[in-house]
Amino acid sequence: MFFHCFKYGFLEAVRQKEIVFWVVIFPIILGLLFKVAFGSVTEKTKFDTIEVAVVVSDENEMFKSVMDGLSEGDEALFKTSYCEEKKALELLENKDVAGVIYGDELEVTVSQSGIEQTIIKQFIVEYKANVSVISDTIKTNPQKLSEVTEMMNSELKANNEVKLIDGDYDPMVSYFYNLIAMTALFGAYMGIFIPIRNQANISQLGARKSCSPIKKSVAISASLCSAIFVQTICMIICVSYLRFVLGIDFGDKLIMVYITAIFSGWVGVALGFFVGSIGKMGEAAKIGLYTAVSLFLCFLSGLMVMNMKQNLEKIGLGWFNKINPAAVISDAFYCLNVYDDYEVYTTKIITMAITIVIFAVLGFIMTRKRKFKSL
Amino acid sequence: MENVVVKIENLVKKYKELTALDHLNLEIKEGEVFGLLGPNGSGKTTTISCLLSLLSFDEGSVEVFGKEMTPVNYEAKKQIGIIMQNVAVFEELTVYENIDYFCGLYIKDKALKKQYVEEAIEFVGLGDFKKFHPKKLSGGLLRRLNIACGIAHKPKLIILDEPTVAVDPQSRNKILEGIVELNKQGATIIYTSHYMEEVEQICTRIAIMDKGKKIAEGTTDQLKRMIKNTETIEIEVKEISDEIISEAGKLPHVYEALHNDGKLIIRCSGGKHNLIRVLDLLQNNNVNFGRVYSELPTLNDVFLEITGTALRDSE
Repeated sequence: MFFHCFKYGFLEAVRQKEIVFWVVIFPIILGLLFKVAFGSVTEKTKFDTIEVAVVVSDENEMFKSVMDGLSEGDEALFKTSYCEEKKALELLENKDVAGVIYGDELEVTVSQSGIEQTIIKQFIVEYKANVSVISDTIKTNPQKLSEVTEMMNSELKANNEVKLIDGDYDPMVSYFYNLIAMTALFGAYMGIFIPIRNQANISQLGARKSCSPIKKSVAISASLCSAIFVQTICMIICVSYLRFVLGIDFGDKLIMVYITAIFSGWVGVALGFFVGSIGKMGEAAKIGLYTAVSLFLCFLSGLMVMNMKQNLEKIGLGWFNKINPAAVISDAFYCLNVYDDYEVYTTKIITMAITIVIFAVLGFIMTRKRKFKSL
Repeated sequence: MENVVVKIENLVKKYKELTALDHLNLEIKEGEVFGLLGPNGSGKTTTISCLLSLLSFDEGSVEVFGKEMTPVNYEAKKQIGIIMQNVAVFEELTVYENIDYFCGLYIKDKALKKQYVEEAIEFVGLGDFKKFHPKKLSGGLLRRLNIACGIAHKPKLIILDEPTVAVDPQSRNKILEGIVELNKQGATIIYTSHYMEEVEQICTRIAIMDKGKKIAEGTTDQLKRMIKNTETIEIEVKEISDEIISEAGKLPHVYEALHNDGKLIIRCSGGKHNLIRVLDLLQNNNVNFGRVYSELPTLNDVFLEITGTALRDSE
């Protein structure tokens, strides 16, 4: 009996056009739009190696060694071409290089203004300043030369990247995490239908089912399991689409992203099941109620307004976002995105699991009634 | 002695101040086609809902197949087929899947279930629509699907709550024929309707309800015998004097004569040759008349005489 109801619960869910749209098609479309929009942003802001022509005498070993150092590696600042002045100016005219650096005079010639040209000029300014400091130190206080060079190195260290995660951090990924969270909350629409279609006082189908010799607990469990099953598939499709079709880089935590997405989807279904079991309202009213509730929860979780979490903490309501499903889901993804360890993440997953159990149990309690005062 | 399938005793159901069922008593025997006739709001659907244990009630008892009916009386539920007033099917499932779903709630054996589903589809004539979704079906076909979902598991007791509302005549006839056929196959039928012609056509016994009370019960003939009216004569007469109308009212067996809307209406109680006597009176007084109708009493007359309002007026 359970599998009979599960089978048809599954067919019901996958054939509901509204559900298919919000849980499958909408994330695909929005994900594609995100990719197109943010893809061009990241392309534009991506740092390219600057091609420069350097005119320098063979004796100026120090400048040459600095330029060579800056031209090494995968993310080199410069791609340097040593040549005569005439050739250098020819390259500049043909726009083969962004500028010409005169190493002996420490001067720069550019043919236009732009980010690359500004970087070349700024490099020469800083080089001049450092050379000046070092030569002054040698002249006036040579014993402090080592301290000066050490200080210069420490300044460099202060600007070093502090890595929280393995792999490359892409801030744009957080938008895709939010997209997954949103898809998870849309799963609630599947949950809403469960009490509606099993309660005799809400729908004709509920009344019809109540007349049949199936235990209500079995009917509701089967419907809930089928909704969870469908939502799990939808979340897997969503994450797989983002990762393998759009090529979104979730770092080396893809499995964790899948797990978090699936758990989030279950939270959505359980939340919908709970909302669906409240009162005697019809289908449209309950969907409206859930939409309002989910928007409110998203608002409080800071998905709509920046600093909302901090504002809530200021007025002593910071605890709310520890149980707010929207906040818990977004926090779980944030942990994956930012932290290298799983301590906070595990707390979020446990919170999600408790949320699922609480909403499911409350939903069951509220739908346990079999006989009504009015239909 | 025939087995009692449904026994309702002193059933009282109140919605706050409104008494929906007022000490209702019903006894439905095996093999009957029992009609619950009454205007909208008379308590028919409330009776069915209490019988199915969907609604709680204030007083009384309901027994089905000799046992108290409760929401967890699964043994009784297994033997009941219900066809709701409003169509209760899944929009997302096809005709076949809908019937298979509901049949599967009663029948576990897969092969038997498949056989029953096919038989139900054939019974309601939806063979060409197996893969259709309910949205694609006309109102009549949708009603037939609703019936198929209720009867596929071959229940011993079938409850049909106004199954022909908003149905075209062709589908209505098909549905009524089907109900008679189901009864012939051994099912006990409870049929609620406010269409007296339907109830008169198929029901072996009828209870007439009004304002939550059973006001009469019996076979069609028994109900008609309960009232004074045995014949209603209607004659198209444009002009007629009050004296002649009064004279018509004094004819033997005539208990009411009136002229209304261009028609002379004569109601008789018993007797023979009433029509001939009325026509003789009109001819002797040189009254011109058109078409003449003579009708035996209907269930509407029964309802009218008992409650003072016509069934259709009360809707």
